Amino acid sequence: MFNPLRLFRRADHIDEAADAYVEGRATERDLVELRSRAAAGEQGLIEDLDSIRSTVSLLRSIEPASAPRSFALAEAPVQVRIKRSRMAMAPAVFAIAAAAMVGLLAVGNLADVVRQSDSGSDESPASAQAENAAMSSEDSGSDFDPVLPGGQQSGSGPQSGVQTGEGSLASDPPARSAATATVAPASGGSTGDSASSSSGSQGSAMTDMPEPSSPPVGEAVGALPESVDPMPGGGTSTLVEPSDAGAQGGDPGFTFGQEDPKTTDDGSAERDMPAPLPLPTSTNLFDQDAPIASIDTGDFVAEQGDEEAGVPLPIWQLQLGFAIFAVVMAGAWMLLQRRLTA
Amino acid sequence: MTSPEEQKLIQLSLEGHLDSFNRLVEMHQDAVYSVALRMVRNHATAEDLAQEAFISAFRNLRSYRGGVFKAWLMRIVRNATYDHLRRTKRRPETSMEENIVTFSNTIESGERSPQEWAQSSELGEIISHCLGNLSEDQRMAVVLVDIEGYQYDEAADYMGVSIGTVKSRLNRARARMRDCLQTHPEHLPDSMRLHSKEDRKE
Repeated sequence: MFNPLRLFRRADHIDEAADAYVEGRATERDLVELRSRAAAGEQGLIEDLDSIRSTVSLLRSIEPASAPRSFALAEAPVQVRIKRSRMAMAPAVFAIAAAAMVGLLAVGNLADVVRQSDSGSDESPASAQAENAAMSSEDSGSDFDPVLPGGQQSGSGPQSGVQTGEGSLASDPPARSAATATVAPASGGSTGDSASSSSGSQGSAMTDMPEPSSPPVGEAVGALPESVDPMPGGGTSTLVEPSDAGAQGGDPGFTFGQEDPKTTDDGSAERDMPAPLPLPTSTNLFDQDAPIASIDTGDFVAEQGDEEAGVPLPIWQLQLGFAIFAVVMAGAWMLLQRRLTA
Repeated sequence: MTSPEEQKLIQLSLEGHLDSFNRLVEMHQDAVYSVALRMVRNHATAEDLAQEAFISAFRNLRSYRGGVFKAWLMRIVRNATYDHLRRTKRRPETSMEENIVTFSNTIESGERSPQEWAQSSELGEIISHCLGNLSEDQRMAVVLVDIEGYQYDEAADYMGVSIGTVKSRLNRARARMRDCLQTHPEHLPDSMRLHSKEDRKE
C-alpha cells in the first residue's frame, strides 16, 4: 500500500505537486506529473492524495470561533511581572553559582598541587624511620633491648605495670620498654609477628630478640623468658615477677599478668612465662612518646603517608559537573527570557 | 504588515495608554481565542489562555520590535498553549467530553434536520479527538492553515519556523488526521466521505 508520508520524508523535502493537488490548486502540469508517477510504480498515489484532500476539506469546513467575551484589560497589570522576573533570574543565579564553584575548585586544586609538591619529600618513610630509630635509641640507652617487662632500666620511675587484662599497653616507661622488647627492633626479626599478643608469639618475639649484653637477670627488674638466656652459664630463666623484684628490693617493674612468683623446690623463684602482651592499640602506635612508635615505623609511616594522601578527590569531575550545570542553567535562563519577551 | 492604525495604537500603548491597548485587543481577540480553543479544545481554558496572552502582551510590549503585530501576538498565544498542553500532559485536568464539545457547534451549518445535527455533533467529536492525537507542532500547523485559513508564510511567522517546516508538519498532520478519521467511517458525511483503506486497496 502506498504511504503518502513517504512523499515528505525529509523535513524540508516537499512534494509540491502532491501538496498542490491536496489543496486543490494543482495545475495541469502537476496533474500530469502525478499521473505519470502513479503509472510508473507509485501504486495508489492518486487515491491517497484524494483521501488527504477530503480531510483538508473537512477541516476547512469548521467555522472559526468568536471570542465569548471581551478580553480588554481593566487595569494595567504590573505586580505579576515582578514576580515572574524573580523566577526568571533563578537559572541565572544557579549558573553563576555553578561557575563560581568551578573557579573555586580550580583554585583549590592548584593550591593543593603546589602544597603537595612542596611537602612531598618531608614525609618519606625513610626519614620517618630514621627519626623513630633515633627515638628508640634514646629510650633504650643500651645495646640490650630488654624483652621482659622488667627489661626497663632501673630508675625509670614508678611502674604502673601492664594491664594485660585491659589489653592495652600503658604509656609508662615499663610498658613501653616491654613493648619495645616484645616487638623486635629494626635489627630484630619478625616485627609483625611480635606485635601479636599471644603467648606463642611472645615466645617467638623473645626468640628474635638479640642476645642481651646487659646485667644479669637478677639485677633487672624482670627476667628474660626461657628462650632468651642472659646468663652465660645457661640454664633456664623465667620472667621475674614485679612482686619478686620488689621483694628483692628493686623496682617492681611492670607485671606480666597478675601471678605471684612461686617458689620452686630449690628455693629459686619460679618464674612463669609472662602473659602475652596485649596488642598495642592504634592510639599507642602513633604516640610519639611510645616505644612502639619506634618499632619498625617504616611500615607505619608508609601507611600514615598513604592515609594522608588518601583517595584523591575527583576534582576534575566535580569541575566538569558544575560546568555542565552552569551551561544548562544559562541555557534555561536564556530560554525563559525569550519566552517572557515572546 | 501592521496597519498605520495599529502602529499608532501600539505607540500609544507603549506610552501607557491602556485604552489604546484595549483597542488592539478588540481587533485580535477573536483570532487569538479561536487558535487557543482549537489547540486546547476547551472553552474555559481557551478563555484563560487568551486573557493571559493579552496580559503578557501588555507587559512585554516593549519587546515588540516591529513587524506584523498579529504575528507577535500569535507567538505569545502559541507559547501559552504549548505550556498548557505540556502541563496537562503531566497532570490531566479536563475530561474528554468537555473537550469534544468544542467542535460540535462549529461545523458548517445551514438548514439541518435533527439527524443532521446529530451527525454533525458526532463528527465534531471525532475531529476533536483526532486533533488531540497530534503533536503540538502538527496541531498548530493544522489549526493555523486548514482551520483558521492562514497562508503558509503567515503560519510560518506565527510558529517561528520556516515555510518548509510548516509544510512538512502540515502534511504529516493531515495524513494522521486522515488515518484517524477513517477509523470511524460511519460518522463521515456522504459529501465528505473519505476513501477507506479497503477501497484504496481495491
